[in-house]
Amino acid sequence: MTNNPNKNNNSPQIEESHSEESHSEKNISNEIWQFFSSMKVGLILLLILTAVSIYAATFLEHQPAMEKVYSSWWFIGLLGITGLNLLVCSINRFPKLWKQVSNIKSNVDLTYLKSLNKQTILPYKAAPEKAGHLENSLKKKGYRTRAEVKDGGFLISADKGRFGYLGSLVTHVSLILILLAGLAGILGGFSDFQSGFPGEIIHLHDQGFDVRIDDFEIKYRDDAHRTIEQYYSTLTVIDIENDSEIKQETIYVNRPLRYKGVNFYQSTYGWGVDVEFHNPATDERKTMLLVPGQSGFYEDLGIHISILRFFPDFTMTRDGTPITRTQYPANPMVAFQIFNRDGQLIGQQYYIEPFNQVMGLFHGHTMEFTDYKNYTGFQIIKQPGKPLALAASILLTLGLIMSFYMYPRRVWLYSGQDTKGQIIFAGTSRRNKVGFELEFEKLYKELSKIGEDK
Amino acid sequence: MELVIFWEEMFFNATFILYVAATIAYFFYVVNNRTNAGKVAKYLAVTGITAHTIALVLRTIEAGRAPLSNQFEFANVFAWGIVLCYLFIEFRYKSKFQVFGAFVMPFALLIIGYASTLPKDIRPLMPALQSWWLKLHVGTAIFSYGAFAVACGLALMYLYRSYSEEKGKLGIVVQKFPDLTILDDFIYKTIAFGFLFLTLCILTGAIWAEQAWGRYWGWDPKETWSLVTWLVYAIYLHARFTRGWGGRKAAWFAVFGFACVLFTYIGVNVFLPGLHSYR
Repeated sequence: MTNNPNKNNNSPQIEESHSEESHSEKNISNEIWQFFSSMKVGLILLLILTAVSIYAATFLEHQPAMEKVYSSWWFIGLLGITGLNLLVCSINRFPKLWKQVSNIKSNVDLTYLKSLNKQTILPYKAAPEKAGHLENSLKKKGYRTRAEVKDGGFLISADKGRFGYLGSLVTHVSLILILLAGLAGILGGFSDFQSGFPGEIIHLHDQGFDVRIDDFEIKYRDDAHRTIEQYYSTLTVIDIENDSEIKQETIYVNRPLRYKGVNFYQSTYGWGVDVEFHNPATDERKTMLLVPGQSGFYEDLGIHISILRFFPDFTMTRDGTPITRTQYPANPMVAFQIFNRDGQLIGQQYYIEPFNQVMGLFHGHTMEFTDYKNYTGFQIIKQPGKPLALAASILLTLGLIMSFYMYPRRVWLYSGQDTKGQIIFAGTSRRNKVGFELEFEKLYKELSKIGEDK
Repeated sequence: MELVIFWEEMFFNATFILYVAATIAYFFYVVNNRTNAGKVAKYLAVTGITAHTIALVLRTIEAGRAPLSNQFEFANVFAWGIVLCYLFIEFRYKSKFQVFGAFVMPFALLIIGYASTLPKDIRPLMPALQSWWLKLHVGTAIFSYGAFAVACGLALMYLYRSYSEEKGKLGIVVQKFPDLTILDDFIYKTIAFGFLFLTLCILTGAIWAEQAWGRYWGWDPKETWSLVTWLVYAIYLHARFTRGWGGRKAAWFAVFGFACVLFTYIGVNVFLPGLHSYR
């Protein structure tokens, strides 16, 4: 055990406190309570969570397989047990921690002070009038103090950074809140995907409003690859009941539309093409808007036109594969197939044709790609746990700062008959030993000055 | 612009050479027991990080944005963070613990060496990355990962000393180490700092992911591995306070934690590409 420097000073009181309790009463509910309050159980839960996460993230190849693990009853159950462990630990520790925060520990004697890892003797003799000066200089250093006359001398008890005791409690409570926020998201949230061309309306179920797509625009950079700088969708929220426009907003990646807890995220985009047919007999023109993967029926001839792909910037590789150089429509072309009424292919395997070019079909009928346009796609999400998650995040940060940087330390100045006129200066800090050592030395110097002055 | 690129390259190379020299000097200091070597090492490390900072500033000018968006750029600032965290300890404790340099600088070298193998070209940011949260998310990662690297070096020293003490034989190198209690305290402090910043990194990441993708948490491999890292360091923080888990076991967790950091950063991009693997 020589390599465990912390076993004396750093063992937390939780472990001790519940082992005491376990002797007093032994019914089942008490045992369950004890089980959940143990730090060892907490550690084992952390290990299991780690193992499961590593397994799912590393050995399951596809995102859906991973998500299946994370949304399984046993994984959520595991998170639930972890939350319970956090809760029971927090409740168990609270009374003791609160006592440490509210009271200065002053029930100490010479034997205890001499057992501390930092203890020394001030370089001057004790005198009753010194007690006040000593207490004041500790106060000036930000210590909370309590002085008492004791055993023909005095005892000054002081502590600093006491809110550090609450740090881990705040941290643990914030983690419980984060888990609850996640649960609220699972129970009361929804996630949907919808897309449309400008002018179309997105209908939502039971939300009391619709969203109209007013415009969509892609901003391209002027570099060689014409990389995309940003996607902009202009949306208008429409109240269904009075058919009124509530607000209009332009959204882009990293800037969603938020309305009544429902958020619209710019997620994808795609292309659609206008196909115009001309019937020479009636001189009628028919236009349809089709996206790749979709086909349209031209009844005058009884043919289907099926759009395979849109190439914004068409070119051929050396081996003759059609590709697009960039996403910018510098040389737009459409790949398509034609089928008859029975679904049989007509003509070539596929065609690739540009825009604004009249193509002859049968009996004088013609077809032309007249325009191309973008549609825009949104992730539509409602997450009710959001304010809770945000509050918990702030609390978590605060809790960690409290537990890491407000380290509690206690010092005592004692002089009594058993010290033979000497003033014992002793202190302890469970955390930050090196830091406390430095502080202790500084305090010692400061307190030593009092002897010089008087 | 050509000139800026040229000088960035120059300063980057100078940084690499200076870090190599500093590492050698720290080793020399440990093995040969000469305080002069320690002074030289410190001087080299400070010059190194100055050159490194200049290289980063030049890249910022060149790219017109913070250099925080692909594998090379992050490796670059990661190494910078390690040296910064180490030098903070060096100056804070008035060079009393220069032995640490010999165990920490190699990590900075490792990471900057990795950086030098990656493509350095500057590419425009894809829409999802154009956010203020990028700076906060990656900025907190630098300090977190830097501190964890330092903690890993110190934990290796702890284990080295601990096993030597068990054998009852302290070699010339181990003799220079501070006591286990002090090492443990330093490991705890660096991990506490790193853990705070890792938490901030994950939280800012979650807020950003909500803005960009519509969810705080999606169990993307990078997200999950950062959670694994967080859990491992949480285990460390608790193990230290638990009977029978402290000391050497806790030190092993500190080492394992850094292995998780490296896997989250490099391994995930190589083996588990997801939404988050920016190359």
